[in-house]
Parts: sequence; C-alpha cells; structure tokens
Amino acid sequence: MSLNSKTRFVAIVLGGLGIALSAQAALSSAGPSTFEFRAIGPAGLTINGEGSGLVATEAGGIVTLVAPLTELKTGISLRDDHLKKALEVTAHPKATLAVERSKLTFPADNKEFDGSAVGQLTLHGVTKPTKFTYKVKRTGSDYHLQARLEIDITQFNIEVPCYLGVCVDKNVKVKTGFKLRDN
Amino acid sequence: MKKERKSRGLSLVLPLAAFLFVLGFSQNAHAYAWMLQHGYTACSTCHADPSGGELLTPYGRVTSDLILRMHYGAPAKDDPPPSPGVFWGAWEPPEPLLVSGSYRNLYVIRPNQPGHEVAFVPVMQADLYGQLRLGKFRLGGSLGLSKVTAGSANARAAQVTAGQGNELNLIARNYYAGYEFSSEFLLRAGRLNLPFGVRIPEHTAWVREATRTDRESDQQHGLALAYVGEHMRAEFMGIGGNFQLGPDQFRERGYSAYVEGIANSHLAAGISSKVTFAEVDRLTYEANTLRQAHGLTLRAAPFDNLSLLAEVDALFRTNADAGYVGFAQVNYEAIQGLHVLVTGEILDQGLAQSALVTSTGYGEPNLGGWLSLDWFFFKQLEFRTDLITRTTDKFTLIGQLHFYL
Repeated sequence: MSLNSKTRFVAIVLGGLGIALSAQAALSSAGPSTFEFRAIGPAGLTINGEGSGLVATEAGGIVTLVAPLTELKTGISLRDDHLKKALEVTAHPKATLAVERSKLTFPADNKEFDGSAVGQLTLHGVTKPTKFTYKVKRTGSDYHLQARLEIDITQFNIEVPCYLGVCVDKNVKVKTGFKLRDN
Repeated sequence: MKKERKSRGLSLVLPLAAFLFVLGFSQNAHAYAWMLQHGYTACSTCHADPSGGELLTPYGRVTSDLILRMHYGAPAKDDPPPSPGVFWGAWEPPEPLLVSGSYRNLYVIRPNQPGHEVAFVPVMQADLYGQLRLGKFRLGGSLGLSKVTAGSANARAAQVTAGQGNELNLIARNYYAGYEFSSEFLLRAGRLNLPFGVRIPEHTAWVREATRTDRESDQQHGLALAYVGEHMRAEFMGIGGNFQLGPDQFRERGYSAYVEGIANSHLAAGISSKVTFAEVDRLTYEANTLRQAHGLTLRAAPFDNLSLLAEVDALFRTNADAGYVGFAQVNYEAIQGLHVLVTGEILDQGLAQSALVTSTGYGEPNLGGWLSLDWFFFKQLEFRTDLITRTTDKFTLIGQLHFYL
C-alpha cells in the first residue's frame, strides 16, 4: 500500500467514523421556541393565539415535537377557556408531531433549506399523517427551524368552537419556531 | 393673514406625501391596533353594521365587557362569563333579534363664546337599535329623540318629525332591509351610514364633517354592498338621496365607498371615495354642486396598547378650489378601559370662486388638536372628556356620559 493509498484509507475510515458518529447524534431543543396558531372566524374575525414550552427530541431516528396545550393564550381568558374545553386538554394535554429524521433535510453549515414533509400529528387523542412545510438554517451544530402546518380540527374529532353564534373555521394554521442542536 | 388665490396643487400634495410617509414608516408595526389587538380586524363580529358602529351583537356585548371596560380587582376563578343580554344582562333576546341602544349627554365649556360659556345638553343622543334576522334576510333600524337648538345642522337630516325649533323631534338615523349572500357579502337597502374613511365616534371631527360622512345624521338612503373578509373589507353604496329631507333638489345623489386591505392583525390601510351631486346644497345653498372626497386611511398599532388611526382626503366641489382634510389620532390604553387620545386635524375646504380672499379653513389651513380621556368605567358605561383647540376656536372642553345597552 503506497503512502497515498494509506492516506486515502485513513481518510475513508475517519470519514466513515464521522458519518457513523453523526448518525448516532440526536437532535434536541436548544434555546427558546415559539408556537403560534391562527383561527379564522366569520366576517374578518381572526383569533391569534400562542403557546409555550415546545420541546423537540429525537429517538430511534424519529424527531418528535411536543406542544403543551394547557397554557394556550388568545388574549381573552374566556376564549382561552373555550379553547381548552374544545381541545379537552385535561384528557389530552399535549399535541405531538413525529417525523422520521430521514424525511427531513438538514443543510450544510450556514446554508438554508425550504421544504416539506409528512409527520404523524397526534391531537385530541387522534393521530393522522399531516403535511407541514419547514425552513431550516444551520449554524454550526444548531438548526434554526420554522415549521408551518394547517390542521382540519374536525379530522381530529374536535368540535368546531362556536360562541354566541360566532364559529371559527375548521382549518387552523399553526406556526412554530425553534432551534435544534445535534448533540 | 389673508392671501390671494393661488394654485392648490402644493397644498394637496403635502398632506398626501406626509400621509404616505407615515404609511411607509408604519409597515414594520408589530402590535395590534385598538380592537385589532384582539384579532378583530373587522367590525361585523361585534356590530350588525358590517362597517361598524351602533347595534351590538351578543358577541360584541360580551367582548366589550371582557376587553373594552375597566375591571377592578383580580378575577375569581369561578366568575361566571359575562352575559350577552341587554340591560346589563337582564334580558337575552331570542337569537334572531338584536336589540341595543345608546344614550349620551354632553357638557360643553367654551369660555370664548360670550353667553354660551357653559352648556349642558341632557340628551345628546337617545337611540334604540334593533335588527331581526330571518334566515338570510335582515330588517333593522334605529329610532331616537333629539333636541337641538334652532338653526343647528346636527340631527336635522335624520329627523322624522318636522320641528325646526328647539323642540323634541323623533329621529331615525338608520333603517334597512338586507340580504346576506354569504358570511362575507351583505346587501342592504335603506337609510345607511355612509361607507367612507375611518369610522370614528367623533362626529365633529373635520374628516367626518367636511366629507359629510358622520354617523350623527349624515346617513343617506341608498343601496350598499359590503364585503368583509380576512384580508380585505369594503363597502360600496349608491346614494339615492336623503328622503328625510325635502324638497328633492336638496338631495345628494352619487356614491360612497371604501376598500381596506388588512395586512395583518395590526395593520390595515384603505382608500375611500365619495362623489355626490345636489341641485342645491342643503348647507351652503350653492346651486348644482358636485362634491367629491377621495382619500386614504390607516389603522395601525406600532406598540402594545397604542394604536394609530389616520385619514387624509382631497376635497373637490363645484365653484371652489380643491381642498383637503386630515386627521391622525394616537390612542394609548394606559390601563384596560382607560384611553388617552391625542388627535391632530387639518382642514382647508378650498377657496370658493366667489371669494376674493382666503380665510381660515377656506384657502388657508385650519388646524386643530384634541386631548381626550376615554374611560369605560363599568359594563356598558363610558365617560369621555375632550379638550379641543382649533385655529378658529381656541378652547372647548366637552364631557360626555354614555351608556349603551
């Protein structure tokens, strides 16, 4: 084996080791997250809400986002109560989105990627495949993500909330922002 | 200082340029505008009128209780939700029926008007509103009482009874039959608020007076189609004239309309246009008068609890130079239910061709400023006071007690 061949061999081994190590590294939340939703009602009514405490983890090649639903806020406490009642948060306090990591594209350092994927969304105790779009930017080992999805709440056996004759549309838009780190 | 007639081009361009500057500057706003701050980008969730004002829906009544008025003390966890009923929750009408009402009195202090330094008007407004919904059809209207001084321009145009002195008169500001094509489109025929500009409660603001689009008594009979969507709201009204006025030559005919784009929950901007013709102008008695107003509006909230409303309109009328009118109002909600408002306004109605020299407001700008305190101190109760100074009237202090059903 020539010197060049040895060098190439070592590089291949080290490269392979790096890939293996990278494959074993797991993603998890790093830093603050945002979690917003928008429901549209009749005659221009727009309800903007937000949650907190969004957490992402990775295990077995599945990246899972968990959003607590018990502290959702819409700016009006009575509306918050109605929302929690509609979501039955006592019985179903969390929504989760599980995605195979292999279905996601993570760009090279300082690069961005826009794409879409399908994950398994569990809401109100019902799990459905749900398409979402995402935008990711990598800085070192951090991935800055924004994900958006639109949910037909009736598909998750959630009754369309109505109050005093004002009902929201069954399609609700969700937007999240969070940072993942390859550990 | 009087000036000779000159081109009005620059006078028009300057306020428009200032407005566009404000519009451009506000594009990065990040908070909610006044009621927009709660996601209410349009008006018809809370009001029967798709463009806002007067008759409340039950949802509107509850919303006003939750987010409009001042609350005292910490809410108890088991507090019942506010009642959507009228008379402070005493009566809940059946679902197809909306009932509401409004009462205002007025205190005025004008030290510069000898003999009229202090005035108290016990009933400035006393209206009842109602609407019945039968499937897609709506029937609605208002009925009220007015008592104004002889010669007053207020209330006369809405009178049902014919008294022209200071006696009590029956008035009807609005009444209509409507058909709801969908939750977005509503067609109404009747006596309606004119769709134009920012729908503010200050009916004496120059933007409302000079364009003749206030909700005090400037309503007209006609046919109006309203659209309210997530990103846009609009209303177009063909004006057939005010049939509570006569004879026919005093009736203004034409159109009035606005379109407002809603960029997001905290920024909306629109355009308004109104063109009317009357054989004889009911206020100036000028013959064959074509009046036009075309303008821009802005609603924005650059910070939490602080909103900005603005409007600028170009004014045109037969036998006069072009003019303009505008206002900008900053509304700061210091505590929920307590608003501090600062308003600036400008008016130049244009020099009439028969006039030789300019005067304030006619060829020369009339400037005004308002400092107001608006306190929604209890459920369906409001106290408001305004300190107004204008070039032509240096000091006016008014106070109003208002309750609405």
